[in-house]
Amino acid sequence: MTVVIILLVSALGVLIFGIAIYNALILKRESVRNAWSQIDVQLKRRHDLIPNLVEVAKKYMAHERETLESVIKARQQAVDAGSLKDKQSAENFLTGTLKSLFAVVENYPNLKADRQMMQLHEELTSTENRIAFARQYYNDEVNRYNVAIATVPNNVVAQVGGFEKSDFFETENLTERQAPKVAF
Amino acid sequence: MPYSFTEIERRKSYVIHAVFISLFLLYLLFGVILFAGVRLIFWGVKAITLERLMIPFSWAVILPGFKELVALAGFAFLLSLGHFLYVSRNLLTRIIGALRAEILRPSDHYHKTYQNIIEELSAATGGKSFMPMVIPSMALNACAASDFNGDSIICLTEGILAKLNRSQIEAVVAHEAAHVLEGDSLETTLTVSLFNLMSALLKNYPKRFFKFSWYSARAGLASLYVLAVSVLVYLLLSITHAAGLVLNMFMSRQREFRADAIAVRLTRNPRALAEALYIISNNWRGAGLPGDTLGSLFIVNHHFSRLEEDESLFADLFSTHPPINSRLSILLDMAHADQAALASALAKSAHKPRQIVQDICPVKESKWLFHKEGEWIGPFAAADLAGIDWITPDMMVKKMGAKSVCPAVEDKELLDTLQELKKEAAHRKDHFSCPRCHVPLVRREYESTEVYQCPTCRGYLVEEPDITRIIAREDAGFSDEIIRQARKIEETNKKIDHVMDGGLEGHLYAAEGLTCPRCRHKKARMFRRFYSAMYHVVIDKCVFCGLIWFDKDELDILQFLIEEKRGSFNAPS
Repeated sequence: MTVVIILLVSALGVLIFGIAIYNALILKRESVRNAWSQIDVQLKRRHDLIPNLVEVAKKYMAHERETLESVIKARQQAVDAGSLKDKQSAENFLTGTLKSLFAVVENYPNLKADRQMMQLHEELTSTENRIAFARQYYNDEVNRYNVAIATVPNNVVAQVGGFEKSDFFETENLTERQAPKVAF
Repeated sequence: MPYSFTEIERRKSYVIHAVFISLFLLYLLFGVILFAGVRLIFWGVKAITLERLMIPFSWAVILPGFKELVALAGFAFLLSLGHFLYVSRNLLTRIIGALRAEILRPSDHYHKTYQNIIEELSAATGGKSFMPMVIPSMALNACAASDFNGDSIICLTEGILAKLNRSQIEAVVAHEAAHVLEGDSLETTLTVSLFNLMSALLKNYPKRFFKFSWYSARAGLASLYVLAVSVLVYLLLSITHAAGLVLNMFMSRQREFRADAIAVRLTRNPRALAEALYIISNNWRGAGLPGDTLGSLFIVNHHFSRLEEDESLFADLFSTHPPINSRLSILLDMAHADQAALASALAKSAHKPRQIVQDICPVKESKWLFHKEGEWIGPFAAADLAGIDWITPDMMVKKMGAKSVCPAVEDKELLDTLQELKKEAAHRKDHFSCPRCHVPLVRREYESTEVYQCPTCRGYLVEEPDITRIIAREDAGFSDEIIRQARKIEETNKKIDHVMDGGLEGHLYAAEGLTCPRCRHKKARMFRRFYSAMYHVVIDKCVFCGLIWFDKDELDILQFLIEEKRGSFNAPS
């Protein structure tokens, strides 16, 4: 009789322990999702700032049509991107086009000194920083989550509960990037 | 962040309980002292009035017995509970008041950058929000405070915003954010609110006490009671302050190291934090300003003290901040650099080119001549037109550089310009007029701060808190003419012997003081005086609203003089 009671109590203990681990994993997974949406917020902010930037630049840089158009198209691609992989590559491409745009802006001192342009430049720099920080936070959370589901007592619960590894937000090597399928 | 929420919650309640118990014990101690004091007085009175001592002195006479102690404990508990609850409701408001912190101005681009940096750190911490505030002082320091609702503020001084570059400011903000995230900020804010807010009164107590008791001694007998009360108050304040210091044992140096480490983890830039700490520690950090008794909240202690630079156990217990050198060496280790290299790199980069401020009407703008009452007057540029209200559609105008004259209504550019000005005027909240010329003032930016300038006489109208900002910031350079006038003022300064603070008010007040543009309806006269006994630049200041009027060039001269005396931030040290 006592053996049965001991077995029941220990089974109950294991169950409770398992539930605690399961809850902790849920918290970490949701934290990863939250971190991803934070990146999304900052990316959207960047998308919203770009049309203004192009308008101001157009006034001074009428001859640099190609650069401006590539920025606009890259932005459109980034807005339309669907899957995680597509999003990552589209955003990285957009970053590249913005870099080349600002390199060209250096040649137009009037544009550089324009009040609106300076404000937009500050806003964009801040947005790039925010994206970088949000990515950093996302990657940190993904790391915590992946470690949690891989370590020994938890991986059993993870398999049972159906928890899968998350991917890091990686920077692609821009020189090896593939050209987008959409025709320019 | 590495700490889960439950861990922080657990630590939070442990320290907060300790704080509450300390408060209770403090009130109990006060109760016992009061009780003993009263008993002592009674015993003393009896001993003096009766021929022989009825009751010999012993401690039992004045100290409370068991029942009395229990009663005192009950009162102490109620008092401390009330005090604790009252303070916890208004934590942030009181701190903000004590520091004289202000909210940011969106039109100021330094403040806008600071706002952006705060939001970047918010992204780095996964969405935790901080409210940025500014302490309007030229000192360099930063602090964070939180309350029980989860709200927190991060305050930086104007000096930091002017002097540090973007990554250094980011590092400082990250350090403060780390305190908030760790939960230290709430504990420190609570302790400081309970025990140190009143300590500011202790600073000048002996001096004030002597002055006060001299007055009251003349009043007679009442002075004895006054004396007793003052001594008691001083005693109570000192004990409270000492209790705050003891509690600092919990707010130990370890927290600052940990906050430094978390800041680096957030920004991934140890060098920027090292540079920021180095620059802050070599500058005035605010000793002497309101709020300098709240040192535990700040990134670097206001007062330089030997205790702080010490590494002994005693220092570890009683000092709120670790020695700057150990903080720097840890950070520089991470950055693979050393202090000598840091110092020389900072000295080299300190020199920023300054530009001479453009006058309000750049030469390229269009100007017009107007034919008014038989005369041609002008030329007026766009900004000058703001003050003119006598233009009629049929008045003849001639644009500078144009070949012919035409009626005002036919000059399209003129009409557009006037439209723009009208729109701008409609949007402005305050319609200030120049106290001398009575034309509407034009809003413009000076050192990234909003000031109002008269298009006619080029005088400036400035709000008082903005003066600190203007002096702290160093974007604008000075023309030779300004420097010449400044030198002249310095020479006259040396010749005048007796100048009381405020200067020539006896002669000029009300006779020639201008009318304040804001308090016009009160017919308030501005007070004409020198800016201060040290800087003999004549200004007009309104006693009601604090607006200051500078005549042409006076603001530039003042800025030049103050920067010269203080030693420019930009000069290689």
